Amino acid sequence: MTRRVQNPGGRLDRRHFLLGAGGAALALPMLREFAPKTARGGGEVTAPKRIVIVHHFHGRMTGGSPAGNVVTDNWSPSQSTGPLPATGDISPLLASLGSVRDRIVTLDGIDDLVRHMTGDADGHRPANLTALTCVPPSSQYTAGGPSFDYAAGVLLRASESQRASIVFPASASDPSRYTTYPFYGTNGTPAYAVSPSPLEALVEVFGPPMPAEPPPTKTLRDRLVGRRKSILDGVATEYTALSKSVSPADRLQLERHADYIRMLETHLGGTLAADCMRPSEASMPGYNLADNPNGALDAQITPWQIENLVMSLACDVTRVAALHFFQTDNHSTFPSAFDGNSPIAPEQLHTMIHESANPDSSSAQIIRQGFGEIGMLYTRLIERLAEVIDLDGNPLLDNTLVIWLSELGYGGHQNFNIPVVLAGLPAAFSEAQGRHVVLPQRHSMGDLFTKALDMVGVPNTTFGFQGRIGDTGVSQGDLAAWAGFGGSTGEAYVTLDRSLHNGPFEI
Amino acid sequence: MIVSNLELPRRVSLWLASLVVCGGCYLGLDPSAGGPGDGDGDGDGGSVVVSCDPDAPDAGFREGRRMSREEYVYVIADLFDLAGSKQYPGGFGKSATGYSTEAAVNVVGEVGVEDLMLAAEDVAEALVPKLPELLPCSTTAADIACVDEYLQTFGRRGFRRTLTAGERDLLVATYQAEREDEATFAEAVAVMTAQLLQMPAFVYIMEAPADDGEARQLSGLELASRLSFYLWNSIPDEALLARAESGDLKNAEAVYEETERMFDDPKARRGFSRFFREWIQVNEIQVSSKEPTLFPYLDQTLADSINDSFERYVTGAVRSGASLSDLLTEPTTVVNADLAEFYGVATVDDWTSIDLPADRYVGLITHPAVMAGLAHATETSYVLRGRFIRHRLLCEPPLPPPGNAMTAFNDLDKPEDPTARELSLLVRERGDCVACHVLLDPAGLALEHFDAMGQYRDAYATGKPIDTSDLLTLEEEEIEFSGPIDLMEKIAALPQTQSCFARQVFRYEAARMETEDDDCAIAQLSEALEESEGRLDEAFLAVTRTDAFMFRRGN
Repeated sequence: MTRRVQNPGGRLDRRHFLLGAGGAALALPMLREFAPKTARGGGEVTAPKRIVIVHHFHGRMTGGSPAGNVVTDNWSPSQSTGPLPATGDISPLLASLGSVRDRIVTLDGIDDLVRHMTGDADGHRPANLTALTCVPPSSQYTAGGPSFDYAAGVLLRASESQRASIVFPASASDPSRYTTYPFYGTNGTPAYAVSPSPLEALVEVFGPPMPAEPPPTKTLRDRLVGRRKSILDGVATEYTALSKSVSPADRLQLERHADYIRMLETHLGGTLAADCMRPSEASMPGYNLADNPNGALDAQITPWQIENLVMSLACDVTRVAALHFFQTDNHSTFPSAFDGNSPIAPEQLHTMIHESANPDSSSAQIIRQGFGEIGMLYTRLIERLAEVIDLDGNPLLDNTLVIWLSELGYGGHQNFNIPVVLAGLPAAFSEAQGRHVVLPQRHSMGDLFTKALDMVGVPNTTFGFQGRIGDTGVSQGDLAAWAGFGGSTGEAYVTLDRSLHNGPFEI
Repeated sequence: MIVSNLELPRRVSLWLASLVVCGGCYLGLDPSAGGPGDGDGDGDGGSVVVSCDPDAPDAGFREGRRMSREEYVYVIADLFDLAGSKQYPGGFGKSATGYSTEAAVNVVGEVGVEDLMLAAEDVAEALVPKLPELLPCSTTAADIACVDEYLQTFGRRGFRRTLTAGERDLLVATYQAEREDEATFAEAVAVMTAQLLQMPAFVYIMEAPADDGEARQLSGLELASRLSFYLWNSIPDEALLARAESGDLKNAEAVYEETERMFDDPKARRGFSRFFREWIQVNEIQVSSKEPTLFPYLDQTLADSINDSFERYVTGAVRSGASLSDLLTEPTTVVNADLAEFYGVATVDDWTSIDLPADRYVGLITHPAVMAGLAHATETSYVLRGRFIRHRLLCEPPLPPPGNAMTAFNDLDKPEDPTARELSLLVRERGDCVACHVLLDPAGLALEHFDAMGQYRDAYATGKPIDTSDLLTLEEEEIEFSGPIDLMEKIAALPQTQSCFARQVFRYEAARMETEDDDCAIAQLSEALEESEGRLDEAFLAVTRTDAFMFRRGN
């Protein structure tokens, strides 16, 4: 699939963004950085680490029927660790990720074990309550703690005035039906999610736009401040040039001076990435989401939400964000994947997923094609993160760990083999990206998230339930019928004494 | 410790001996003691035994350095007739020489770089209303030719040379970018100036090393910079710059002509003032320098008068052909009406040189700027005063005080209202304190007739008498003195004092400590002092005649 999603483009200038942000309801920590005397401290410039969680419902969507000891799968590129295919489709469901294949690591071997502590036979509810919280629910309908994005945001944020996490609904369907699960805030309260409408979300994140007034006349001070970066750029070049014609000791002095100028240049931008900009409302269409019950415009609208998300990170509004594909409850028929004529009947997506345990079924083939829309939007997110330049001069993606996952393993309500795609933060990976990894031992979602915290530099091994499945008093008989790993092979994997953490792993 | 004196020069062996006797108070033997290259140890210091090759220049090395804050203030004043911004970064840390232009103390970090930027912006803002006066074409033909005229005038003077094409283009690009953004001509020039004032050619004083690594004579432009920063603490004036550009500043005669011209210029007062202030290690007196309940009469007017008097006094001494001995012993000063009242002498209408009672006052050291500067806010400091005499005047540096010095002092069992001498003797009773204080304190105690504001007193306020007689133990001799006048006259007569002064002038100009390679230069300065019977002006003038000034070593 080569079709590209719409590029929001339309940057506003930095000044416009900042003035707009000045009226934002959110307390933006960067504003104080624009006071004249901002650059303090020394050392190399470092950009903050961020996390993006991408979530879609129904796991691997298709497949799940056992074929011998192998679960049929349209998601995983292969059954063993190795490089992703250099050409062609990565896998049937990940076909639209081709342009970012070198930036991703697909991961097999992660299970939502905590789900089995609930004793709840519902196929979706316990998964939603546990997949990202990694703790048992406090009640049948209430999560027992914050989801990973919120917990990570608390650890990563610059101060308490910064949002721990912002959830960006990625499917623009009827907002009245939108709920934030599986994302939760502190103590399992509803997560902070912005409007599914990108225009409304923009205002929620960045504040109301500047009044359309002519810009005030610049004072000389405005000019001097506004020209600082350009002046320093030129001055630093002069230092470097002069250093070539003096003694070694003097050269060192001049080179250091030039280094400090470059550091100052970076710090003059505060904690904002170099490309931080308020997304352009002028070019953002004002969609009426109530008229879009089946997501006919999702592929057009979601890129704007992605732009909101990327800029919320670049502008340090938050350091953790979630892109929440809300195609559950049959909202979406993925019309854009079928040129507007989706064969998925309204309200039938859930049913079709259940019909797709056999990956060769006609339903599975339709879903595979429809799912390409999500893959395409995910690709858009990765590419945009790679385009935006961060505080340290590197792409924002280099400082951002993107974890794409789902609340289920397979569409038949199985909670094992959660689909996971990792991207960004290449320095935190043991090898180059562009790989498929099958973990040698199975690990829990808790293991995955503690690994993620380690990767972003805030090690914390206490995230998620620390005991065993049976610690909540659930009986062996209560373990969900779809708990068996390996399907009919009957392998006793999900047992009452199974630990919720299986230790660290390498990626 | 077993050391055979036979294996060491006598000075070193004496030094080692002093370590044993004094418990290790010396930081190290200052090479100035006894005179440069004087290894005979007889203390005369006058027989200069240094190996100066007449066929090869004795060039020293010269570190590139950022101009100091004080220099920056003068540069901005000379360039634009504006006050320099207080944002400009000052020195950081302690200099080895005690002089503020040393390269190491003017290194900047990120904060300093930002302060440079802010200072440049301050000056740029202040420049706009001055521009019509500074650059007439800005009102008649505000175009790119006028910008070039500005750069040829102010950029060239600030850089101490003509701008390169690259520098010109960079600055003009900034100007043009502002013009395209609807800035006025003056605003655009101001923004361009903010950039100019951060460029290395303005901020740093650096010289290119010789390509072959050998010594080379400095270019006329480099010599012009050395001269102006040495004598004026600032950039060359148009006459000096033009002469350098014409190629007429290459030989020693031309340099000396300019030295004499600049020496007579009023701006030379800046250099003299800074040298003497930093040599003595005193700051300007401020109202906040002293405890107001003890010195309620100290107001800004008096503080300004004391500071002004100091500058007039040292400048007058240098310009009048006074000798170092005169400076140290003559009971004269310069007063205005405020200071006349301070001294308790007949009032004057304007600044006037006067004689003070010769039984009380003795040269520069009893000037209130020195006595108050070498004192605490509430009381005198016989340690600071003694340290100046020993370290800066005689070049015998002591070790810095140990970390527990103040704690140990506070723990002393002191009598009621102790005199300085009582305190000093108590300190000297401690085994870990005596080694240094027996060397430092006597000269300081000799000045106890001058309180913390530098006013003469016959006795302490408690009625206790002041005893100023003592014994000053130097590295190579002992001086018994009856009081400050006797002490300073004996110190002024020491060859060590003269050679130390020569060394201080060298350090001031070179902005670094001397090395063995500088023996010839220092010998030349000592000789100039000796031949002129210690004239201060000859010491300052002789600096620019040395190879160390005219040449620089390569890499």
